[in-house]
Parts: sequence; structure tokens; C-alpha cells
Amino acid sequence: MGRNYVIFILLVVISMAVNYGMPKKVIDQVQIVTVAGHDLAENDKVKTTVVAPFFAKEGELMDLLYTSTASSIYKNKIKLNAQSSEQLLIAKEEVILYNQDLASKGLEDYVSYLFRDPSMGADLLLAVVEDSTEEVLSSVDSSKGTGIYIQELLEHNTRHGHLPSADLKVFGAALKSKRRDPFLPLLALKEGKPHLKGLAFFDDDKLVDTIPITKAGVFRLLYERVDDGQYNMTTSDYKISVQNIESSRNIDAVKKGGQPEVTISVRFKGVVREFSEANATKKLPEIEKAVEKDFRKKAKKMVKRFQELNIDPLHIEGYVKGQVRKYNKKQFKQAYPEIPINIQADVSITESGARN
Amino acid sequence: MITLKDKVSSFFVFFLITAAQIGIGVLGFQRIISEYAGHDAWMSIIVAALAISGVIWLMYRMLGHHEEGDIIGIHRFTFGKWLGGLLSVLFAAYLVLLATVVLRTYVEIIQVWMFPHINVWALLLLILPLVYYIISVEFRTVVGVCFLGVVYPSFLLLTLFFPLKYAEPTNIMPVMDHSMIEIIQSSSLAILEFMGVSALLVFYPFIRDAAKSQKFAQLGNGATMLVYLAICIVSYLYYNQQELTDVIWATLGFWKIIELPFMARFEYFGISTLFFSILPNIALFTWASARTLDRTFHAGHKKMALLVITILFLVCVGMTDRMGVNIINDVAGKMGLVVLFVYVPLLFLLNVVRRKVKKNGS
Amino acid sequence: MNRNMEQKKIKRDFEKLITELKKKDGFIHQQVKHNDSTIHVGYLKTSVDPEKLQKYVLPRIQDYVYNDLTELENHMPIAKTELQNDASKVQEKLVNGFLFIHMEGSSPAFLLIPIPLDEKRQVSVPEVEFSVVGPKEAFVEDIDTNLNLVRKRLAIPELQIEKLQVGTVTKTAVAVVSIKGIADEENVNTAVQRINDVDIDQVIDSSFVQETIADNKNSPFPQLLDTERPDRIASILVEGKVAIFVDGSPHVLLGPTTLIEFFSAFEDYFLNWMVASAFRLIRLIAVFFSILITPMYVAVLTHHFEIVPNEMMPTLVSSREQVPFPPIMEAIILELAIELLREAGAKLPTKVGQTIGIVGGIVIGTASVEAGLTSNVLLIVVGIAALGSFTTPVYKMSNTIRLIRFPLIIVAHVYGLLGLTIFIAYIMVHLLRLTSLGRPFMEPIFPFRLKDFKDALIRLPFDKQHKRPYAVRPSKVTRPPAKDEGK
Repeated sequence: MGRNYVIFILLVVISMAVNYGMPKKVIDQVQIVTVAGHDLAENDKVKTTVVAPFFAKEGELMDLLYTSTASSIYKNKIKLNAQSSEQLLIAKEEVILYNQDLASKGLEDYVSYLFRDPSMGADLLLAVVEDSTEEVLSSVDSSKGTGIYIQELLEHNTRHGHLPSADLKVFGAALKSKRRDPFLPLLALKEGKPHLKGLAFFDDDKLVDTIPITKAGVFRLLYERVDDGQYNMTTSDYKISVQNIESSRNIDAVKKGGQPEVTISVRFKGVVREFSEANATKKLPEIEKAVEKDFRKKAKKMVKRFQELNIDPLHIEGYVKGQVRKYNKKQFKQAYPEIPINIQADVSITESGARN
Repeated sequence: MITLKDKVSSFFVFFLITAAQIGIGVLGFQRIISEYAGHDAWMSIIVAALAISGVIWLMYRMLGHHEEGDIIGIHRFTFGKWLGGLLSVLFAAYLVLLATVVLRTYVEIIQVWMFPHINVWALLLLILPLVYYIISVEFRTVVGVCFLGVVYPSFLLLTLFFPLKYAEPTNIMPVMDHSMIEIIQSSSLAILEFMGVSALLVFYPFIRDAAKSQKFAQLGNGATMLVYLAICIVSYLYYNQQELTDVIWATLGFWKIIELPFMARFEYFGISTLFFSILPNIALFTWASARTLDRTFHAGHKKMALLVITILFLVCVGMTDRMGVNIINDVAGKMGLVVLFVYVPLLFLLNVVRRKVKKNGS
Repeated sequence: MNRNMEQKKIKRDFEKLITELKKKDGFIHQQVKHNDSTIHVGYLKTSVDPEKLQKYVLPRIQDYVYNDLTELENHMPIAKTELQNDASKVQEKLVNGFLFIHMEGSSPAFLLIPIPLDEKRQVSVPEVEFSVVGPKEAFVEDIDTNLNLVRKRLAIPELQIEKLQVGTVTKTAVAVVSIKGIADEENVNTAVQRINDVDIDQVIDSSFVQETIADNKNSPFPQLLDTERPDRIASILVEGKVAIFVDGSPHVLLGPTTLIEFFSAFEDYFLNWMVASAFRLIRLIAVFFSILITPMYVAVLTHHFEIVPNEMMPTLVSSREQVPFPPIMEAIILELAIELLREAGAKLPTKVGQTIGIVGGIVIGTASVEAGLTSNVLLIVVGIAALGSFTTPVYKMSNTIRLIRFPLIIVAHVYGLLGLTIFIAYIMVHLLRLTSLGRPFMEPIFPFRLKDFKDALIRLPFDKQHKRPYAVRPSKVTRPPAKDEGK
């Protein structure tokens, strides 16, 4: 009995002693990168900018910014580490920015490391920046730190604004899938501050189109179920803003004469918050009709544009595949720019706020 | 030889079967089984479970006829001392292989996700004494570990709700897009996840009212099926098929998106907790292997346990990369198919014939 | 003639005895004239009860008329007196609190009267297992008082007490108590058998018995419950368990016990079942917390910083920024500091102990954080862990809980969360293999018995607990309902 204990303790001690020297990542002896930006540099190189907060004292934070240029992202890692006082670790990155030039060239090579490295999270956010990511990253001055700042900028717009929810998981799924195309939020600098400018649409991994954020609301309603959205409309008679929108969306595909026909039906309800005229309560049915019409018009225009560009950020092909038994990929791809896509809207405005 | 005190109540067969079947496979089976049936592969899990249920029935029919009621006794009875002994040793080797697959795959995950620089042999020195501690004395301890190994990690099933936020129903639509043949082809791959059931051939005599415990065994098999089915359907909703071909451990991918107020990355916690799920696998297979050897050679259970664990250690240390792990996974899968669907029915038939002959002779 | 010879021998022996005894400290020798004869009274001052001496013995020697010691014995109002001729036996008895009376010319020559000084503590309020509500009696060091305290609560003929003696030198009295017809005979026999097999020279406290009859001596976990509450003993005897009383110990052992029983305070039974269950769960969570939180801190900060949410990062990192040590050293230093505080507080008198607690906790804590030797987050962590370990009602278990933290911290440093899980698996398997008087220690978790959960993690109302816990294999499983009692 005693001998067994000695052997057991010996084995455990050996095991601990051998692995004792295993490299550790002690939390205050590493620099935790919270945001990274990749810009296209000359000769097809990529310029990487990372920001790692340094927490000197409770409640105080200093963002350290490192930049380097190399032919691949992990080559940059070496160069960046050569500048930093402690090891830079990217596992806690919250946001990754790509500049528009790089995105137009194709992002596949620059996002693949995010999937391969098991230490990366899946809910980090990606965004495209109009000019230089380095400028955006150095422009932020916040006690939260650049990473959290940009992350929260994107997140609250997803929760309550026009930005459709998209993170690395969604982007990756769209990128890998041959049946849909990804999109990303588009950031830009405005008076030295980063702001959400719009949405960038990709054909496979190449950026092909952008829309301003004011128009992204329509895309969002077409793209997903919305919990808290808004819709603004200006007609020749009045201006109106519908808030607190809860929506649902349905895509139906049927085969008609060898061609698939797709119907996107969106129904949403909301309340009026801004109305340039009086007596909104009485005009509600009228307003509903007008909003429906306006939405159909805007949506149709947007879908037409997608068809013209031959991109499918709405995942229409997936629904066709799921609902039409004899679906042929090649055939569909050829037919896509031409297939009829109908938009149906069903708007109900439930309240008119605190005034009549 | 086996006293009443060593036996466990038949109710625990449920946990023994479930614990033996659910192990390392849950992390990455989705990609493997979708090879033929694509997004319909979740159906092949049901097919595989039904087939296994038939094998369990066959095993009970065979084991119930024997006084000693385990595969060693059946081998000896059917093939005589020498050939029977040889087959028992082969069976023990097969059990060690199963244990190796589980342990080595787990260690690989540790290497990839947590500690890329870890010394595998040193880590094994920490794990294997534990296995010896479990299997060296009583079967009761093995059962206890199986029981806790099912109950405790079962809360991980709750994590299946998180990926549903990203569920894309179109990923598994349309249902039955693949032919029956493809689904059956996929289910032959899904069998790998149910292979643990072969340990039943060894622990059968340790069950009180063993003959009546079949319903628990079938229930255990059913529970395993439900778990795999749930994970499979959730992963097919979460990943599209193109994504799935890229990920090695799809289930670990789920955990990446779980963010709790006090824990940003669930996978590190999840992988650690999974140790409780693989421990019963290793313990049960090594115990069964050691017992098979002990019953064949009568050399003492403790010595055989030590031998089995040493082999396990050497094989695990010898295998160094993804390729090796893939190869033993494949080999084990094929052997499992052969053992469960060719050897067990064959043994059953030969055993019936042998019994008839003996009866007529006497 | 013969008689003369005998008298001479006695006289010689007596003189020898007196000279020998005079060397002893505190020996008192008095001579009284009585009926032409001389009476010698001798005793050890420290071992006789002066009250009894003054009240019963001395008056009778002087007031009555008697011719020899046999007559005197009849007058003595004290039981168990002895008449003795052999002087050598007297000395032995004197140590045990006897007084001898020697009458010259009398035969038998010595009358031995037991008037030992009974230094007994009064039955007082339980201190270790204090409860606000419920009975306020605690065991004392005297085995007879203790048995009486239980008998008072269980005045039934079925209460069986088996007296044994252990310790080759101390010859301590031990009593194995159980209720016939409820307790499993096998458990009683195991206990008696093991106590008989005890082969050590001294048994000063029940802990000696607890350790020597444990199923696995190489386990950090106590395998018998000890309590100082007679009400708890009574209640548990009714459940069918076995109690072991040891003379000289105010703690009574109970078996077979289970792991969960160690975390149930007896106070739980005095509170409403919902409240009691909630507290019991909180206590169990506190224990897990107490064991795991410091090792988790070490594991996460050393290996898995990814787990920390970004919102928490500034707090954690900035608190560690000034600390020159790796997390493991920081944690071990603080844990040791807390242990030191506890030890110091426990060894010092209550008032001083409190001061130490305040000085240590507040002054050292804040000073070390300000000096940058430890991080304030860890200070909170360790503080919570210490608090958690103190909620365990059984002192011996809370010691074990504090101890297993240390290897866990070290494993966490090397293998992170993986190491923690492996080590917890070790503890789990150890607990699975552990038995208490031959019964599984992990019951009702494993072997899984749903029925026994009624009084395990939670406590259901008393009238819902129709059955005694199966863990102890009681002879009568069902508790008799009141209506059936007459039949």
C-alpha cells in the first residue's frame, strides 16, 4: 500500500515537473490585442495595425498602437512583437477592420487565420473601413479603449439600429457557402471620429457595392427578423418615422415554368414617433398603406441591384434549394439575375405615441 | 467468483452503456457522418442506433445462455481453450484500441486548443494513474465513474441552445434529399460513435438480474442516440455543409459563440469538463480489457490492469500527429463494424450450433 | 499465635507503606485514637474529594463505636468500599482516589473507601455546533454523563449499549450505542470488531478511535461524523446508525456516514424545511466555491486569459499590474496568510483572537494590496474561499476542504483548467472508493438512491420522510406511523 502511494506521487510529481516549463500566458505579462486593422500596402503587402490596451491603474487605460507591413498577417505578427514590450496575443480581438482596397481585392486570405486559430472567438466583429484602418484606430480616444469602443459602436447599432447582425460566424458561413454572399458594416472617418457609414456587399470575398446606413434599414428588414428597428419615410406630403419595429420575414420559392419564383414577405409592426402633421391616429390606415408601398419600392430597387451585380446577400439561393426539390446549382446561377423576386409588405402601426 | 457484493443493480446498465458510447465522438462526428448523406446524415444516426439495438439484443441472447456469461466463457465454450483464448486476447486488444482512440483524440484536442507545447507523455502520467486507481480494485468504482461521467457533463447539453441563435433552417432543407443507400453508407460511419457497446460482452456477469437488464441497455442506447441526434441537428442548422467540411471539431465551434457575463470563452471550460465524459470510456474499456486478459491467463487483475495501461501509454505516446490520430480512428471504426456486425452474429450462430451439438452429445 | 504473627506482618507492611507513601507529594496521614487502638487515615490530597471526606468519612470514624473495620464499613454511607489485608494493593488504589483506613490490631487491616475527586465539567451549550434554535446541551468529557444525555432522549428498552475498553495503557472506556431492531446488526458488529482490533496504547479522545477504525486511513476525509450534540446523536440513532462514545471526549462518533451528511448542520432540522433546504444548498455551493475559486483564479490568470470577458479585463489586469509574483505565488502566499490568521486566532484566547482577526484581515490585507504585493481581486477571492470553508458545520471536514485547495492550486498552475478537472476526478474517484463502516461514502449520489435524496442536498418535511435512509441498511426501513403503534 505504501509503495503504491510513493509511486503514484512520484508519477504525478514527474508529470508536473516536466510540464512545469510549458509556456504560460499570465494575464498581466501579455498584451491583449482588442482590435486589429489590415490595410492594403504597396506590392500587395498588408499593413497591420493592432491596438492593445495597457491598464496602468484602476479605471485608467492607455491604448498602445503598433503598425507594421509584411506579405502575410502572421509575418506581421513577428514584426509587431518586435515592437511591443510584452507578447502580443490576438485571442481577445473584438473587432477586425479591413480597408476598402483590401476588401475589393478579396478578403479570403486575410480572414482564414481567424477560423484556423482555435484561440479566436467566433463572435468577433468584422468591418470594412473606407480609407485607412490605421487612421480609424488612432482616431478613437475613449476611456473604454479602442477595441471596446468600436465593438460597442457596432453592437448597439445592431441591437437598435439599421445594422443587420453579422459577426465572424455569419461572415464565415456566407463566405464558405457557395449559395450566398457576405456583407459587412462599413466604417469611415467623419471629422476625425469613426462612424458607421453603411453596408458593404461582397461577391464571394470581393467587395462590390456599398449602401449608406440610412438605406440599410430596408436591407435589414429583408434579411432577418428584427426585434427593434426603425423606418423613416418622406413623401411629398409629410415626413414620418416608425420606431420600435418588430418584424418577421419569410422567403418562399416556387417553381413556375422551369424558373423559380421567389417571394419575400416582410411584415412588421411599429409605432409612430415623428410625424410632420397632426391627427396621426386617424390617418393610421393611410400611413400603413403608404409605408407598405414605399417599402416595396425601396426593397425592389435594392433586390434589383443585387441581381444586377449577381450577388446574393439575402440567401435567396438557399431558400430555393431548400424548397424546390429539383434544384440545379448551375441553372440557378445563370438564371439568378433574371428570376422574378416579389416583395410583399404587411405593415401595421399600432400606436401613435403620446399625441393624437 | 463474482460475489453479490461486486454486482451492480441492473439500472446502472443504462449508465454503463451511455457512458461507454458517448465520449470523444461528440466533438467531431458531424463532419464524418455527413460524408455520404450530407445534410440528411442525422437520419443515419437513427439507423445506426437501431442496428446497434439489434446487436444488443443478439448479445443478450448469447450471454444469457452461459453460467459465466461473458465473452471469455463463450469463446472457451465455442472454440475450446486455445482458439478461444486467442480470440479473447484479440478482443482485449480491440478494447485497448478503443481506449487508445478516446485518450489520444482527447490529448490531441488538448494540444490543439489549450496547450500546444504540452509534453504528452507527462500529461499521460497524470491521467493514467487515475485510470489505474479506478480499474484496479472493484467494478463498482468503474460503474460510479460511468454514472458520474454521464450525470455531471450532461449539463453541457444546455449549451446546445446557444448556437440556435444562428440556426439556418435552409441548411437541412429539403429533408430526404439523399437516397436511402447514402444514408445507410453514412450510418456505417456513425457506428463508430456507438461502438462502446462491446464492453457489455465483458461486464454482463457483474449485473444483478442480468437477463432482465436488457431494457436498460436499450434505453441507454436510445439515450445515446438522442444526444447524438440533438447535437447533429443543431450542428447542421448552425453550419452549412461547406463549412462543415472544414471544421474538425464542430461541437467545439458551438462553444466559441457562448458568451456569459463571467466567462467569455466557454470552450476552455467545456474541453476540461469533457474529461469527465471521456474518463468513463477509458476506464470501462481498460477495465474490460484487463478483465478479459485476467480471465484468459489467470494472472491477476491488478497485473493485467497495469499491463493494459502500459500499452495504452506507449501507443498514445507513439502517435504524434493528426495523421496518426486519423488512422487509428479509421482503423477502430472499421474494426468496430467488423466486431459488432460480423463477428458477434457469427459467434452467436456458432455458439448456437455448439450448444446444440453438446446437448445431442450428452 | 498465628494471629500475632499476622499482626506483626501487617504492622511491618504498614510501616513500609507509610514510609514509601511519605515520599509522594500530597500524601496526608492522620492518626486518631479510638477504643484503645490507633486509627490511621491516609489519602492523596489531589485525588480525593475533600467535601466527601469532611462530610461522610471523618465524622464516622470519630462518632461511631466499632471494634474492627468490618463494623466501620457498615457505617460508611459510600458504596464500593473494599476490605483489604494486602498493603501492596493499597498504594495502587490510592492513586485512583481511594482513602484507606487502617486500624491497628484489626483484621482485615485496611478499609478502602472510594471518594475520588470527580472533576467534571457541567453540561453546557454546544460551542462547535452552536445553533440559535433547538436544544442547548452539549456532551462533556464524562462518558456516563454523555450516555445519560442520550438515554434521556431515547428512554426505550431497545437502546443497546456495548461497553468496550481500548488503549493498552489508558484503558479508556468506549461505548457502542445503537437501537436494536432499527440499526443493522452488521454495522454494529463492524464497529465493535474494529474497536476491539484497535492496538494503540493511548486513547485520549474520540479522534484516536476515529482515525484507527477508519476504513481508509490514508484519506484526508473523515469517515465518521463527530458531533457534540446529544440531540443529533439521538436523531441519528433513530435513523439506524451507530454511535461510538469515548470516555474523556466530548465528541461522539457516528457511522456509517455519507459525504453529504458532513454538510448538513443539525440546525437544519429546527428550521422550516424550505429555509433549511435553501441554506443547505447555499452551504454546498459555498464548499464548491471555497475549493475551486482560488485554483480557478490561478488557472485562468496563468493559462486561459481568453476566458476573462473584456469588460472584466481592466479590473483584473490593473490589479495585478504592480504585483511582482506570478499568480500561483501570490495565491499561495495569501492562502497561507489566511491559514496563519486562523491558526493564530484559534490558539489565542477569544478576545485576543478577535483582535488578531481584525489586525490581520484589515491591516495586513489593505497594506499588502497598497504595497503591491497582492492584487485586490485575489484578496476578495481568497476571503470568499475562507468564508466558504467556515460554513461547513463539521470542523474536521472544513479542515480537509481547506487542505485540498493547495494541491489544486499547484495543479492549476501547471495544467490550467485541465489540471483542475483531472484533480477533481481524482478526488471524485477517491470518494467513490471510500466507505464508512463498510458502507459507500458517496451515497445517495452513488449508488444512486433517489429516495435518500429527501434528506441529502435538500431536506423535505419530516412527514414526507417515511423511510429511513437506505444507506445504513436499517433493519426496519419504514418509520412507524403513529396510528399503527397500538397494533
